[in-house]
Amino acid sequence: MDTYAEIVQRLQFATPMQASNALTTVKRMFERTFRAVVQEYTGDDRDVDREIAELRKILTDSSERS
Amino acid sequence: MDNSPEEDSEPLEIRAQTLQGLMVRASRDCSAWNEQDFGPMLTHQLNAPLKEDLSLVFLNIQDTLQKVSDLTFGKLLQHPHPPESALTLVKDFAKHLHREGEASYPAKIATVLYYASIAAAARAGIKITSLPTDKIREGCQWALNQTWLTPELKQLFATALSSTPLA
Repeated sequence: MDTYAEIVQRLQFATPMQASNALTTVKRMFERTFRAVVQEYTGDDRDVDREIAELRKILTDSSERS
Repeated sequence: MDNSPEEDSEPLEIRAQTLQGLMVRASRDCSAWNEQDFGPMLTHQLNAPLKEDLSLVFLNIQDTLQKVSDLTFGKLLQHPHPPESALTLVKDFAKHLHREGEASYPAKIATVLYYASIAAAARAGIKITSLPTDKIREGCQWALNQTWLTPELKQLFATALSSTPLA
């Protein structure tokens, strides 16, 4: 994963506040997009949280095994 | 012909780890930055021009910004005669960053900036806070204990802690 210094150099943020605000925006965009993708195959908004929790568990187990 | 994207050749367990990492980092309760980033972030903050950040957070501060138009956060904190209004803005800016629950700005850096503005004011004989002296000392001591502090801020906090009265 990139360090703060690498991110700032690459994206030319003028201050840490600008970098932090951008990161917050990216986190929100990722969450929104990820939920939309999961909802596509669950078909029901109420199942999204459960599905994401299950996916997280699968990925955690997979990481621990490798 | 194989026209699959290049990333598809990545082993499945690597992709699983990447996705898991993204999911964890994107969760609201996850700290956005690692503590090893705090030193570079603080240095970046201190080297940033005051007007760059302050003008985004506060309205009607042109008069104060004119007095410090060429100063960075770091230079203001080291200034022998810092304008009280500018130090107060930096203190309020740090409070603003600390309050922003959802923002990704590290609260520890905001806290260092907060006490640094108070310590810089105290060194110049200015009082910009109603905090009691023991709380200011506690905060400056906490800041001094942070391993990622710059030498200039270490000196500032050490000077503040050796001064009586502090503010």
